[in-house]
Amino acid sequence: MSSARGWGASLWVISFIIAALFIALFLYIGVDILAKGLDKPHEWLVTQPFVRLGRDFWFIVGGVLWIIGTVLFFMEVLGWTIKGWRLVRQIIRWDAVDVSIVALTATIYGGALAATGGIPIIPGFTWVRPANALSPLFGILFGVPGAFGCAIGNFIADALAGYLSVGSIGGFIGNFIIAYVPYKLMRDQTFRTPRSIIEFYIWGVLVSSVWCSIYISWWLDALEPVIGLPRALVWGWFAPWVIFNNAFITAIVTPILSFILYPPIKARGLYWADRITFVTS
Amino acid sequence: MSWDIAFVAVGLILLIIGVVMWITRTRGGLVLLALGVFWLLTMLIYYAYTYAGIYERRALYPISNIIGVVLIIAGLVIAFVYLKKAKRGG
Repeated sequence: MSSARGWGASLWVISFIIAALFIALFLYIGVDILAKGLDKPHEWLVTQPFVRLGRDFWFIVGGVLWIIGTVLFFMEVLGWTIKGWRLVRQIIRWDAVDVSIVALTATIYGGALAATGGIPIIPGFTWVRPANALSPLFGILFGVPGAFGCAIGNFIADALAGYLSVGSIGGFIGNFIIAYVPYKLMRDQTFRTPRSIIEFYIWGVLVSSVWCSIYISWWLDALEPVIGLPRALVWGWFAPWVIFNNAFITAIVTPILSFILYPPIKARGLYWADRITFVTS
Repeated sequence: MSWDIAFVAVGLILLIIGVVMWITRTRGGLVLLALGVFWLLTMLIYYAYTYAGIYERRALYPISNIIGVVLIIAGLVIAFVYLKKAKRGG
């Protein structure tokens, strides 16, 4: 009994150490960006993997992630998903409540992005976005409707910030991915167990931020003649900045919001797992 | 065809398909309709800003910040209404 309690306490300590390490890492990256200057992205620590491995490498990796992300987006929209390594039908009611969830997540996410906007990093392409913390939160709480709302919210925010262009299509699915990854890959979304916290930092902070960044970057690279952002800037500035911009705020704010909001959302039957049916036969 | 016209066309297609599916009571119709409405609302913002010259001026902020706050309030109202409805079992 006491050894089980000791093991449980150890897991909590490990989970908090992992959380602290993630936060420290992204704080360090932020300090590094400020110390070296926003105008010197080629010197940032977070840019080095892109500089060292080169554009061709990231274009190939990005192409694979882009295809997987796009296929998953359309599968989910059309009512299919992957569960237990199998392709299964999922029944989302898409009733007034689900559509209201899409509307509320789209307006709150889009509104928060616009309300906190005004500090451009790459004019015409991205800005300082503290509201990014809401995207994994909406995915974790509301599932596909929440992720769909984030995609629409980002689209609205692009228009309000003056960034609406063909590049916004990449941002549409890219923001769906930030919400979708923790929704789909976290097994425990309660934020009340060590496992939940560790899973969040792996899937909700690291993987979702990197995937979103590389997804949009690949789109900007592939459509460079149309969109106009030079490829060197896509991989040497946009991609590392988007990773930092997503991960930093998400690592700090999202777990607190999720911990507070999970019980009332679950109690009111709005948590995604209580509103979805999987057809496994 | 310029990209903005293509975007408007996509929004209209989504809206029309959504309306047809909603009228025929096909699941997913309401969300497609909502997507079409939000998509066209985005284009409306884009054209309003373009023709008012807001993208060209320094007025982009705080105008967009204010609209952002209005959107957050709208979202919170929707959340409040449906959380209340869900609590009542509606």
